[in-house]
Amino acid sequence: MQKEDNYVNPYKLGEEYNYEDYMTKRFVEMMGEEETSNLLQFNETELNKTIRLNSIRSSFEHTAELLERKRIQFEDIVGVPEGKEIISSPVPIGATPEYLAGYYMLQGKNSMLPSRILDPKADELIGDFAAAPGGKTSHLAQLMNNEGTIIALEISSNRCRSLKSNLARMGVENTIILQYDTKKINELDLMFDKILLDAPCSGSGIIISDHSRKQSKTLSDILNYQKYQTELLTESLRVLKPGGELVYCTCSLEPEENELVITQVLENFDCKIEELKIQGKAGLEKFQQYNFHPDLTKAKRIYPHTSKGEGFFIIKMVKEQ
Amino acid sequence: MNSKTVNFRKTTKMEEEIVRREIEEQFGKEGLDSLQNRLLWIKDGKIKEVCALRPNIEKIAETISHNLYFAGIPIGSIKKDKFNLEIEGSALISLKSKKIIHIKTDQFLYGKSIFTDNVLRFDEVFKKGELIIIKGRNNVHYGVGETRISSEELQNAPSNTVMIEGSINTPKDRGWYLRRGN
Repeated sequence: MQKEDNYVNPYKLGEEYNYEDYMTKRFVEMMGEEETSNLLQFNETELNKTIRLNSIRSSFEHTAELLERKRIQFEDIVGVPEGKEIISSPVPIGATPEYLAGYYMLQGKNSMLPSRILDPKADELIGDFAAAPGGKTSHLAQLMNNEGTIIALEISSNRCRSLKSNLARMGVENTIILQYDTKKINELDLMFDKILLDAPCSGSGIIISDHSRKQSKTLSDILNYQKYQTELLTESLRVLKPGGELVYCTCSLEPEENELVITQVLENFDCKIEELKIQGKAGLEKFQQYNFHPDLTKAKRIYPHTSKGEGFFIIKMVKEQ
Repeated sequence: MNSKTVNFRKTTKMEEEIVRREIEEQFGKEGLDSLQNRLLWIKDGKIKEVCALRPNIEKIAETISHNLYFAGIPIGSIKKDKFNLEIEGSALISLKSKKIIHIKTDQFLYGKSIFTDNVLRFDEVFKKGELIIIKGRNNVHYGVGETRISSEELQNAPSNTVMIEGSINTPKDRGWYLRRGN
């Protein structure tokens, strides 16, 4: 294939931008040289802030009007009616009285997708595992009209504190926070209608907001995450009702933390993968020595440079009856 | 995982009485109405944190109370047998009560005091030493405070008179979420 005029060698870029060599090589294996160059260049730019309007506190129209009065300029985020991208603001967007009153939450635009994809209903029992700092939890609560029940798990006590604070600020009343290890969720004797598992990950999709990630993780770290994520997903599926739905997502682009986790778990659970109708590339069929489950192509890889947002992997699984 | 056991439990009869009595004294029947269909629980600690749970949340909370970090919405705290209404409790009450003062400064959100000059209007008369809900421009809820003068005195008081004392150390104003919340 002929390369475009603005093509820059990704290996040179990786060196220039201080990526560990293995990272650039893997990106090239995943998406080709040209896409990798685009990704690495995009990671050097700055994302516009994005916010999610909170209908628990105020109507979208009312909040939008208040923001306009402050001369904050914003645009709609396609496919997420509550999402707005801030174009310019004369005031710090994370410290306005409206922010403090929970009229909106600062939240990455692609991180608004998993809650929407899970589509929680007001009469359901929802599990949100690895919940802090609560962006997705409060989004779930909003989509449920603050009814039904969310069980939000978080293992760290400091993160529980920030989770509690954010939920209170957003006016969330339908959530129970447990300081608890998701790996032990089976012991609670609860069965969930739907589960959101935003798994702890190596974060290679959010280098744009955390440049230290270019150097901070090794291949062995990625494999450690993979092991942990597989355990979390296994335990999550155990407590999902038959016919129940689970959304698994990470902000990592590493196939081991995404396609490999799902492929391994599907060996032990009878699940259907639902085709996601959102923008993004299909999940990978293979990577290096791994051949993934054929249904992984129904998952979505959302790359930062094509979505102009954080990188994400998202998949929706339905547990067979 | 933190090995400290968090005790999250239903209020005792006495604790419930303390909370309801204070809310009724300060905000009358409307104040109590804001707790309708909500049950009071306590998170034990240095202070007793009071939160309001809906019945469906309580039902599940009862089955897993030993692992519970928090549930429902925090409304205040009990210290030395006195209930202190806090940010979200006052937000709940503001949906029913008219005991509200509207101010034109954001200084209260920084833990600073409100002066008579900062007051835009009030919706209901109030006495000195009472709790009152504070809202900013556009009806945005700011928090709760104790009045240092009555609504009658407010009309003629000098502009630099402290109307409500601010505090950076108590969760009375929404700026708390930036100062200490996370």
